Amino acid sequence: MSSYFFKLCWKNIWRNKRRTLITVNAIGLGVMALVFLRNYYDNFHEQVIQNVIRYHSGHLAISAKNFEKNHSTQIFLENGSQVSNWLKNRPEVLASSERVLFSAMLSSARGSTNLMMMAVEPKAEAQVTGFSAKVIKGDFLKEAKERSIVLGVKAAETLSVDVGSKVVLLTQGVDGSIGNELFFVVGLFETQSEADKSVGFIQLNEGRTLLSLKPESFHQTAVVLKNEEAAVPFKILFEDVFHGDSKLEVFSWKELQRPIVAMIELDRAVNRLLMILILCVAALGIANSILMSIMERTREFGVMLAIGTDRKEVIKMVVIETLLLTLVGVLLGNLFGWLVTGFFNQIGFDLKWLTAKDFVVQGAVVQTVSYPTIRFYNSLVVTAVILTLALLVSYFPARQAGNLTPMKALRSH
Amino acid sequence: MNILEFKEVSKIYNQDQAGIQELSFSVREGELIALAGPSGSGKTTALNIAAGLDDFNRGEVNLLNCSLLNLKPDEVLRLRRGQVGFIFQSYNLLPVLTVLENVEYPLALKRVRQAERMKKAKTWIKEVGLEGLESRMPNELSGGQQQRVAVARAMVTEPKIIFADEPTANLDATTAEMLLKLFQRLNEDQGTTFIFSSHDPRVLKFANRVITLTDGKLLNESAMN
Repeated sequence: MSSYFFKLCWKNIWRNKRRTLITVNAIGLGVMALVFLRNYYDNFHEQVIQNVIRYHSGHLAISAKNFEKNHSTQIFLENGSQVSNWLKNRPEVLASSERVLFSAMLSSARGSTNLMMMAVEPKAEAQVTGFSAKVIKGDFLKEAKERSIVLGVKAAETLSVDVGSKVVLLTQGVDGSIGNELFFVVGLFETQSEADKSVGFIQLNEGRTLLSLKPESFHQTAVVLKNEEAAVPFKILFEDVFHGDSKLEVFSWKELQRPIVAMIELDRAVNRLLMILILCVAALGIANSILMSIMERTREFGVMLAIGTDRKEVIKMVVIETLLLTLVGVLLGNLFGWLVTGFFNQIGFDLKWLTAKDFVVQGAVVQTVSYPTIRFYNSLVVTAVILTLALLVSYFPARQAGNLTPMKALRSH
Repeated sequence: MNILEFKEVSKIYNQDQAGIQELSFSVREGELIALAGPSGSGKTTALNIAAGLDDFNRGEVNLLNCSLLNLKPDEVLRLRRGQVGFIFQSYNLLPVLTVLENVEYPLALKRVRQAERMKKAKTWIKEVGLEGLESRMPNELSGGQQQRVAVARAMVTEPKIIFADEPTANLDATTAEMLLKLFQRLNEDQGTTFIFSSHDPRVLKFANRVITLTDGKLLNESAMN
């Protein structure tokens, strides 16, 4: 189609400015809402995933067979150095942290509580999880400092302890012996999650001693990769390399956090449903506008056909008019969608007024405030879907216009 | 040489109403013909059939040596686009286009390049006496001016034959005379065949020949001076 006909199509869509503006606004609002919501949800889901990765398992958890299923201190890797050394040499790995995990009772002069203890190498753990960055009082563990313990603020509240306080840790070793030791609280963390009242950190070697484990033994190694997408291929590679070792097993975060994966999937499905509904409303608006326009111009189509316009040209003209109309709405919608996303990227979009408080899934905090970022992929998807819909809804009225007989059309008013 | 032939052509709208009945006449190349007759005599029906805009029930129509009976709708459309012009009683300009763009329209259909298109359109706008009004919209023109734009639009592709259905019906006497003189001039200068319909006896004098219809039948044919 020549530039002449594009110009004609463009002029045609603006012949009834009010109707065109209403349609463009409807499309624009729908697209803006979708672009922003998709950007928001993507960011929200990423935030949830990052929380899971940064406060739980990392991208992958390597452990002794059945440990993740039973969480028994009796199930541990006796000599994990082979795994640790292999991980250190892999370019995909950003960091890994060996952990000895056990339940313990912590007592202070004023109270006691049960905690899930994580005995870790402080530097490695700081690279794998975000707890060290969430210390609000004191410091995270330091290698040189013996018998140090870091607690969540709520656990400290229960025990009525603060930085510098003494606590006694009591647990059962893997050989059935009782392990107990006096620790000094060196730091308090706050993540606004279940971890604040249920997790504590001590040095890895002290954990081994308490549980009567040999050096180089551990329950789990949490691995953080440079790229989240590499989790599944890396897991497959690990299983290939260590396929002869029946004592080992590896899980991706998705396998360990199935409820969160399910929640995200459900959320995405609802999002898709919302997109379909909004786009259907926009498509109805487009169909209505184009049908009105065709009905008003029946006589004009008759003239065009009478002076030699090809039926296919008429069909093409109506389809292009619809696409142009939609494109104007889509461009404006995307532009405003980006502006709204950019605005909330700066100040944060908080759903607290709808949910009343942060909620927790599987112990991972899902914060209501999110800072959405512009993702062109979302704009591309929304644009492609709505243009396809516009093409579909315009085709039948366009064919109707193309199939008019000149005489019938010329006789219409 | 005949450019148009009607051989016993009938068009029946429904059981009671016949548009034309067994109408036969022919038009030679370069003629300026008027189809005369009162309202309902079948002038418009005959013109529409002749231009391939309407179908017919019986008989045969040959336009530019093509039997319309044997042509598919798309072939009729191509024939119209290439060699036939049509002028409507109510001008029927495209309201969103300027004068220049309206005249360009048939050339754009024929995929004529923009520069040539504009040159030809401007030539014809000048020819019909509307120079300087190229960028006006149709609703900014008088009826006579709009009809002259319609003439320029019909002439711009230099068709062999132009059909005009009651072209002066909506015009005052002076403007109507100006338009018919324009037909005469184009007919003489370009050799274009014109067939126009009218029930107004004052405009029939501009034709070379008048074919008079009544009740869809040929009443008489008369040559004019």
